Amino acid sequence: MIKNYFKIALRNLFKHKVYSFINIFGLAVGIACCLLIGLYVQNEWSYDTFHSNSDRIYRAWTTETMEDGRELLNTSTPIPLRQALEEYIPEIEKSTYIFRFNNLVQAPERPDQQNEQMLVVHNDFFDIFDFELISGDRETMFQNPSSVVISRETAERFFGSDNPLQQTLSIRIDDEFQSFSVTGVLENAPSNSSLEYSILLPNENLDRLVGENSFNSWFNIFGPTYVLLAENAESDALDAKFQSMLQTVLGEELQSETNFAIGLQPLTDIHLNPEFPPNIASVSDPAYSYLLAAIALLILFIACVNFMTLSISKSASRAREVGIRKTMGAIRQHLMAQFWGEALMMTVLAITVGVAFSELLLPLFNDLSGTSLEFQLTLGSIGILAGLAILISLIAGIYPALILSGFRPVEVLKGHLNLSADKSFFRQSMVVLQFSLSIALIFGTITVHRQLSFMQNKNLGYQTGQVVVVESGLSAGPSVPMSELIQNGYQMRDLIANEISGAQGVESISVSTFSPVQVFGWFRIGFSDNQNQQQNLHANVIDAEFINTLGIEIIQGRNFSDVNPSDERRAMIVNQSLVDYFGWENPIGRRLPGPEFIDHEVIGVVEDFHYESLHTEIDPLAMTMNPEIIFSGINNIMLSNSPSPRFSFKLNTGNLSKTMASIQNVWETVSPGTPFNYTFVDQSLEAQYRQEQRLSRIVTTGSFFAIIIACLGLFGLASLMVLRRTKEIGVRKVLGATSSSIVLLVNKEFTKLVLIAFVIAVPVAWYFMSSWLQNFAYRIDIGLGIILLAGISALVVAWLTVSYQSVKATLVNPVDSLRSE
Amino acid sequence: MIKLKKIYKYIDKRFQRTFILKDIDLEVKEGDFITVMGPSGAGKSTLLNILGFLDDASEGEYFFLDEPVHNLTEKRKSDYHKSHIGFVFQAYHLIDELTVYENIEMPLLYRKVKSKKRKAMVAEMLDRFNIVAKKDLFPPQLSGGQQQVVGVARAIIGSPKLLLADEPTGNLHSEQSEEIMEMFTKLNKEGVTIIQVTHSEKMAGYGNRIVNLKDGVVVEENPYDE
Repeated sequence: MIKNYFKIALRNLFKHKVYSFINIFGLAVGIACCLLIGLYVQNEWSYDTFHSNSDRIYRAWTTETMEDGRELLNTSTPIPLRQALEEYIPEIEKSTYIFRFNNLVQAPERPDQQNEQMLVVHNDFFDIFDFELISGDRETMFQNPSSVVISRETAERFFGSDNPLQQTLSIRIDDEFQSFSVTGVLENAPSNSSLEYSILLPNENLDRLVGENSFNSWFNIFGPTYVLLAENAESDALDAKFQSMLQTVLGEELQSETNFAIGLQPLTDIHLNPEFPPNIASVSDPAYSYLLAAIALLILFIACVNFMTLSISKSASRAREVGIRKTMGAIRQHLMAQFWGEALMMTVLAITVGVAFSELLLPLFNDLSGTSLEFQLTLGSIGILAGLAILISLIAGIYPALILSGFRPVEVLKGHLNLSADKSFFRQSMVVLQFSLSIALIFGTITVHRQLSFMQNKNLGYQTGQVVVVESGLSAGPSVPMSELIQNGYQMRDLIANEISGAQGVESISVSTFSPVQVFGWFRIGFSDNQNQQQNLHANVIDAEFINTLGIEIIQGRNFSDVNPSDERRAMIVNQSLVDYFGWENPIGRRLPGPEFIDHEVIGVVEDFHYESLHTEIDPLAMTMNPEIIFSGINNIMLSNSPSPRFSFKLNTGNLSKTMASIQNVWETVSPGTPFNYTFVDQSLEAQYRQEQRLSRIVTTGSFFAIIIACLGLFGLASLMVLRRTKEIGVRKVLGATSSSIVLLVNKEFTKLVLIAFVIAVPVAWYFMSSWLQNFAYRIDIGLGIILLAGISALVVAWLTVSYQSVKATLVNPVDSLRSE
Repeated sequence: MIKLKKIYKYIDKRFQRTFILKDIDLEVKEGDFITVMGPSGAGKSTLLNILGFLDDASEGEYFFLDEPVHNLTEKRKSDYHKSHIGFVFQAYHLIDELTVYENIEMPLLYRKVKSKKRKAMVAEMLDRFNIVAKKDLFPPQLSGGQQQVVGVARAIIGSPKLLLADEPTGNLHSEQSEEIMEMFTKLNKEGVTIIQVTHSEKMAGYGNRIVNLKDGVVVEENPYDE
């Protein structure tokens, strides 16, 4: 029996090659999309679960309530926290502080220094986390403060194929190089680890990286604290203990004054929870993985719908078989089994092809999504595939199995089968559904593209092309005061300016604490104004050349001037937003409304420029040459980047590589041994929108596939419809219809469906895209243009697809089409 | 074997009732070879479908081997259908995707006949109808007459008591028609009850009884008796 079904299924497959191709290919593409996206989503959701104790590992957070009622949530923690936790909370088994810093590293045999990111951790780090130790002795490797553990990738970079153990690495800490001996090599962190590492140093080195008072201060925060709870401890029950611990260590008064509180966040929650500040862990918005999963399911669904609609259209020919089988004694269950079995066979074939596709497309997908995923064929994944096969075949085979099997043999054998109105309604609504989804996806694609190009082409208020930013590499440790750092920057700039004056293509050079490359990184300062209200500003320390170099427009007053020595001491330039914020009618000569600020004066106002990304509005900004003005009057400061100075070069050159080479030459004479790290402003701006660009690429690819699959379905439907109407078309032609009127006749039916789909899709897509655009402070309007473009492109694609069939039908000689009846 | 009492078949459309069969009384004895005749639209095929359990009467009683069919469950009907009734159609109704062999075999599959026995039975049929050479061909590769031979072979492979034929020769030329009719006569002699529908007087001649239908009513039964 099964053999018989199998044979007939296979023969049907080959007999209707076009439909089989559409079904299998469409489904295979759908499945490939699903698998790839599934892999990505699974990777996202499995972050940090590979640690054997993942359910007991937590990251501490702190909150501090400000005077104006704002709550500051932070995952950077004060250094004494770890000690206190170990002491007062017995449920905490292990704990580590993690401090991250960048500095130069050199292997003794190699002269070139590398700027490396390093972590300073406690010995417990290796017990809490399951990062695999490839070589080295776990017991002794962190005993000596001058030992270092490195990742496999780092070992290969510094030592090649040599055994890295007992080799020496010179690491610059607080301005001097110190030798560390490699005592362990860790396997690279897995792709789904929120923590990454290359060089790990013992905790004893921390005192030379942060100021001494930080070791006892509860309000200086540097890095996260991770803890391992005892096996039966419940994190919720610890809250009360934390409260009493804080009262003990902080003193009751300070604790109630600051409302300082701490809590624990599960390790596995970190990656997909953007509500906590990310700190050193990688965090991504879970909305993106939901969105991706939705797109994958949509594509799969569209492919399943194809399967259904095509089998409905083919049911006329299969109906006869149903009739015959029923008169031969088949009952309905037999036929249901047969049709579902056929669907299952097709699906298994499609899955096989789909797996092959996804295997082929994986590198492309990794490129697209910025990941490095791999397929692993495990028992689990085979089980999921089998489940998928059954699910898809159940959905895809539902029409023939349930409806076709119920046909009455008398009717179908007599040829009285009328695919009555309700069935063609079902089929048409499926087409409408497919096209609604496609139009919505096109709509989304166009909107995302428009928004991205809007951001890229928006006038940011400063020059982005031909500006290059070079990191000074000046050390910004606790032993270097801010003013000294800036003085060093000025000196270095003068040296470079002297050397470079001969070089061609460099128009100007400026030094500043921050440049437009450090998005989200400019000083955020807070101060109490004269009415004792908390005020917040952004700030930067710049030189007289900064405004010229970046081409920022001065709308009132003047720029800093070298000939006016008092500028260096007491001048300030603010942006228009600041003037508006404080409601100054005549800003020149004003000062910031904080009583604590030292003597200063606004000498100029610049047009607002986007020193942050376009996700946020332009905030009030103050710029001075003298850092003391800013630091004198503030009560808090936030910075996400090192305040080590940067040099901005404005270029004016046709030969970029030659100019860059000459700058590098100068660099090596002025600051020998410091790496020449440079960034072009326009490139770094693009990097700000990487997540959006990735989204855009994935949505584009997804809608491309969705439309292809929907068109395949439409193509099949159109060909079946033309087949059904061959006689009608023949009669019409005999009676004198022109070819174009016949094409129109066929296309009209589908045009109607696409238009209905358009009406359904537009409001839904509009709603979703408007809410996505809310993420941007500066955004496009979804105009009629986008709506029409989405609709028209769907219509054009549908017309092209259907026209092939209808034109073919008109070219048939009516004599043939009428005789065949 | 078969008793029809006051069988009606009608279709209700809006406020109008269209009768296809009206007040049919018919008795068929085992071993009969009955021909149903009448003009197009007289209700011949509908009558045959009701006899073959493919359609239900709107009113009236139908006894098959003394069982009241009008009261049977679907399951029982299907069982009767499988074991007692064979069909031959005007348009042959073979499955194009199956070979001659597989088409003949199909009814046995639904009766769960064991593979070995199935093979023997199909081989016997192929032999009996002289189509062994054609067993691996597909229906579209055969002539109409050959297809109908396969149709007959498929209908009788389950050794039915009743063979229903709806214009079995309607698509065939006379030589082929005669061949099929000879076959029917032979089967009838072996004890199979046959009811056929036909337009052709000549084909009707093979039977031993004629029922004439007009507008759903029996107008004349068995003119040969008079």
